[in-house]
Amino acid sequence: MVADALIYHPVVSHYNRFVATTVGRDKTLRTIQYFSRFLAWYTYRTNSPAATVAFFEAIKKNFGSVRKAMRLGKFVEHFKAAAVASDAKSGSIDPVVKYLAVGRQLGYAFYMMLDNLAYFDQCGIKKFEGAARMQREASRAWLAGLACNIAAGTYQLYNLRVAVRKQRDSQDAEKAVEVKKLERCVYRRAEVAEALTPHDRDQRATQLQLISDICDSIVPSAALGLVNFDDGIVGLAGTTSSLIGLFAAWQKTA
Amino acid sequence: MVADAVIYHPTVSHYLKFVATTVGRDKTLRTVQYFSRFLAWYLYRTNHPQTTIALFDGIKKNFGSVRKAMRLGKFVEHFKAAAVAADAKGMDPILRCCAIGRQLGYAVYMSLDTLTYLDATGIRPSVSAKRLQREAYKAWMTGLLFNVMGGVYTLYMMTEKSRSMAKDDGEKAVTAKKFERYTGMKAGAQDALADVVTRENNQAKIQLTSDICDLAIPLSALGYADLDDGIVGLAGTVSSLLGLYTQWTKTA
Repeated sequence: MVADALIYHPVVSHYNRFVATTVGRDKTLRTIQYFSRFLAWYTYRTNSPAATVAFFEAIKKNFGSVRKAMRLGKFVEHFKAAAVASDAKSGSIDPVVKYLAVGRQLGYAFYMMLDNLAYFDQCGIKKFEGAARMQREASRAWLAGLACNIAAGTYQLYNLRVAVRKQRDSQDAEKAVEVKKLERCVYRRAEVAEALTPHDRDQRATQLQLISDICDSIVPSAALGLVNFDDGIVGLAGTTSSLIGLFAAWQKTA
Repeated sequence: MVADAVIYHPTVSHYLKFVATTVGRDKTLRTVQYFSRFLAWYLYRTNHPQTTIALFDGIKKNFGSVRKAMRLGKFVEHFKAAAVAADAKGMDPILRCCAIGRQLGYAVYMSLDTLTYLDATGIRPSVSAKRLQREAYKAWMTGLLFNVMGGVYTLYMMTEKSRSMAKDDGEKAVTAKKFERYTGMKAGAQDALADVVTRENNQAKIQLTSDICDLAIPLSALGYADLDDGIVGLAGTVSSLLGLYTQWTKTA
């Protein structure tokens, strides 16, 4: 039956596993939230009826507060990750990367903690004085964490490039020509899958993470007023990083 | 260090695994939501200040709408489970029928609930939302009733099985008792089977209690039973705690 072909399709089980994780649901809601933010700005700028603008504004606010509630208690994960990162043996990991990882996790941990504390004020359950200040400090902590991760990503990409160059220089001329041919092939779509070495996979993963973090850093920067970006740019940047995260979470629950 | 002892404690990893699942977070929020519902009623009845009541009312409403958003798209899981139950060959026919009924009831409830989301949050009010919400509650109630029937039937079958096991093993039981008295050790194989039966029995009892408590919510929402917020709140808290406990043990 058609229904059977639909219900037993592997995508359905994959989807079920995906939405059973908090990360999966969070990234989906985040994508919709930031895209609504962009659409609210866009429909406002293109003089659409007020009801349409209000519709997207409401989705953005609502999904934002749903995700805030879903974040309650998530700071524990980041404090633990910071401890694990700082306990990593010095020989096995580059010290620069290690300290940047600790910085990133601590930044996120404080962001989540302050965000959790500000939750009850923001959704109107119990207003209190320091909430706006707390929200600002939360944004600063998030930005600090992202800055650490951007620094780590740039450093790792630089190291990967240096390693490739060293490998190329150390081999003899004929092998060097082979490697150059292979590198050129890597950028042709058809051969990407076969030619992807672990090095290329690392590079791709690091590049993706870097793009995601740069896009993410636009959100707290705009919130703190450090840069004068309008809602349209913030919305698109947030959507991009959410889609990257959604894709990663989808792969993980395969 | 003290910090290390705390951070590396197995409970922390268990907690992280628990909150990484949607069900875990949902049961926690649900427990707080229904307990707030009870507290709001209790504080109102005991003449506490309006601000305190408003706090718990706010928590109840807010967590309710957060959980509604977290349910979006969950109906797929129940439609699939209904199809799987329908195709299960070796299952007891009564249990199979109850399982299908339960899953379909939940699936329709979730679908209708998803449709009313935009209205409930005030994003896009719609005329038919109230009607859809009523139908959603009816579907939920139907699913719960099927599960209660399945639970009662399972418990009945289990008592029958244990009674027949005890009759068969009359002589074996006497031998086992002698063995136990002389060596102080319990006979192995018989015990393992008894353990499994007890565990299944407990699971069935927990599920039945949870479903009966859950029934209070749609019954009072549809007006079929005149239960006040206090009773509904407590019933919801009990079923949420049972679900939370089950999920906690699952993510061990």
